[in-house]
Amino acid sequence: MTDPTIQVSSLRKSFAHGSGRTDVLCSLDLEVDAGEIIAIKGRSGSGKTSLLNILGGLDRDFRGTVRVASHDLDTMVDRALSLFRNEVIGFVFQSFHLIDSMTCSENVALPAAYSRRRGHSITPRNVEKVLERVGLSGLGEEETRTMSGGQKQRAAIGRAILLGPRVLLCDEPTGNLDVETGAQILKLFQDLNASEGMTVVLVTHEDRVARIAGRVLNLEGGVLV
Amino acid sequence: MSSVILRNVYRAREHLGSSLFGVVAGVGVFVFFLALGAGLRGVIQGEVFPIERLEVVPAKGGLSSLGIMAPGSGQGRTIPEKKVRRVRKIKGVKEVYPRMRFGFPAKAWGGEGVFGQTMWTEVVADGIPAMLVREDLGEDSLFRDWSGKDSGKACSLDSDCPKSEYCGHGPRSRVCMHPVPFLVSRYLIELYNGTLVSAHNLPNLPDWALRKARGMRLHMDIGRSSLGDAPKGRPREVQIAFAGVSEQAIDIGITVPLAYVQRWNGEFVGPEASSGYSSLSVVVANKDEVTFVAEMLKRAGLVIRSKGEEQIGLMIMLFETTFIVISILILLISSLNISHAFFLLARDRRRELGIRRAVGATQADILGSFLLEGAAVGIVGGLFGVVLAVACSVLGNFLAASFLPDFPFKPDDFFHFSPVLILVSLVVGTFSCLVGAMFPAFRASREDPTRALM
Repeated sequence: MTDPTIQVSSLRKSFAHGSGRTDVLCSLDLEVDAGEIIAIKGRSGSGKTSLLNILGGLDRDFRGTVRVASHDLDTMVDRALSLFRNEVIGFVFQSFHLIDSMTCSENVALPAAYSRRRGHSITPRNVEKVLERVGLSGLGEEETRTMSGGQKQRAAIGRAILLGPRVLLCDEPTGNLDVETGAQILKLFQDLNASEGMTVVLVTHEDRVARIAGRVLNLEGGVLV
Repeated sequence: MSSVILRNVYRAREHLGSSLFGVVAGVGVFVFFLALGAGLRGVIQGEVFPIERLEVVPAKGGLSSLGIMAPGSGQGRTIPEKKVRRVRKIKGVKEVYPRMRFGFPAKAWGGEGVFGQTMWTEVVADGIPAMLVREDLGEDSLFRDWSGKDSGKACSLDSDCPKSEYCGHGPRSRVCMHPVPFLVSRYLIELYNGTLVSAHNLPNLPDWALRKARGMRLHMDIGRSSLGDAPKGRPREVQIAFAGVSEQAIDIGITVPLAYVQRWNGEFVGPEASSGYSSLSVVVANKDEVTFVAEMLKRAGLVIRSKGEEQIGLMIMLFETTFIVISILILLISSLNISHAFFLLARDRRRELGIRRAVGATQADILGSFLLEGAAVGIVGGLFGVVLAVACSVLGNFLAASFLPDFPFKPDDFFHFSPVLILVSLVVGTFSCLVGAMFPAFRASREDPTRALM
């Protein structure tokens, strides 16, 4: 019996506003096994993105214990969290978050610029392989601003998987795509999960996205049900 | 990484353009005026007042130190030979050249060939070792003690003697002898050309005329002047020959080889006057040892004679300081400008910084990338500043050569760009940019990535 890849216990997150605070996550518990695909559904403002940011080590302002791939995020300092994001986590965002001034392959290769792994250099050939893997073969020199939404999301997925992360965190990955392109992207997640054994956490409000998940959890009132 | 930094700088060219201009201007002013100061200081200390050469006089000089000599007054306070030997033993002293003033009256006349009329003058003069001007005038210079090389042939007219000699007064009868060589200072020539020429309608004496005048003979009465005769000795007429212009010559007057002065002072004043020196020219082996040698000379009861070099040095220092302050103010303003530009950059790149943080950039990575961009602006601005300063110096030298009148020690190049100066300028330019970029870079590195990605 192996430990779950993600273990969250009594997670609390609140936001200050005006004179008071609003709780978005209230004593939330979650466990996700290695290689699992789960979908977290919920209304806008329910705290889905907040949960994803905490799981990805982007947000340190929380209470409770969060353990991802044997890393205790609640005790890690900024430098360790940066390394964790670089090596363990792959983010895929709704609005792609590519850097417009860079080409497609430069965006894909971006995590390599911050890799601290000794003897693990990323070559242009590695980047080309990743581009092939996400269906962007031959588009490496494209300016990202000229690419379609589907191509941009594929480039963002390529960037997320470049360094072989154990966990892929996807925030509304098909939210800005048409149905057909969205389906292709979901198929890509399924393939990556099957071939690489990546654990995939999908945050969405779309049923079609949730359908590829082995488990669907709803975030309501700050807890998962 | 460097290509990413340069590309980021290129992307931010609109924000950084005016800042770059400030750095170029600041570094340009900084380098230009420091190079000008270094160039002028080099001329002043290397040629006008060689810092490695100290002129020392006895502790209490009287009127004689000004070159004014009453008949029969002797030399006033002098430096004895014993003290000269002591000075030679001071650590760091390379050479000591003694200088001895005429302790007797003298007057000179002649110069029709050069001045177009006979000139008369009381003579203020001194003597220096011929070795002191050997480097300036060359090995074949006239300036030496000819007394041992005179033919000594009996004569009654100059035409009875070889061409290089004249019929002079020997101890008992007239014999052929070489004229006494003399030097004048550049200062005296400038004084003559600048004031006497126009006041008395005399011919100008440019360098070519001075070269042509070498060997020109004048007559000089020794032991006798319009003010009276020396108390002892045999006043007589000698011939003197112009040997050239030297910075070692007395400012106003003539300078002859030391041996002549020693003999004449002994004859017209007394034996003690032939062994006491009016001043010493002390050559220091190394500029770094000047301070130590100066202190030792003071301890020996000697005074270092200032010819204004300290005041000029102070003026150059004030000049340099003023422009350093101005350039630092310019750099400070450009530093503030850089700071503003980087705040705008950080705002424009907020989302990009969030993305970089999401894929693994640490706060130090973000801070470092901004600082590297600041350094790149500083280095590029600094290089342009140095190029601008060099270009302005070329223009300055051209304008000086074209429009400034000739003056003593006028240099061909007023500027000295040392590698150290250029390096320091680049460091100063880069530092000002780093200071400007520091706070915005720090703020950007502390940006919450979740907010940046919203």
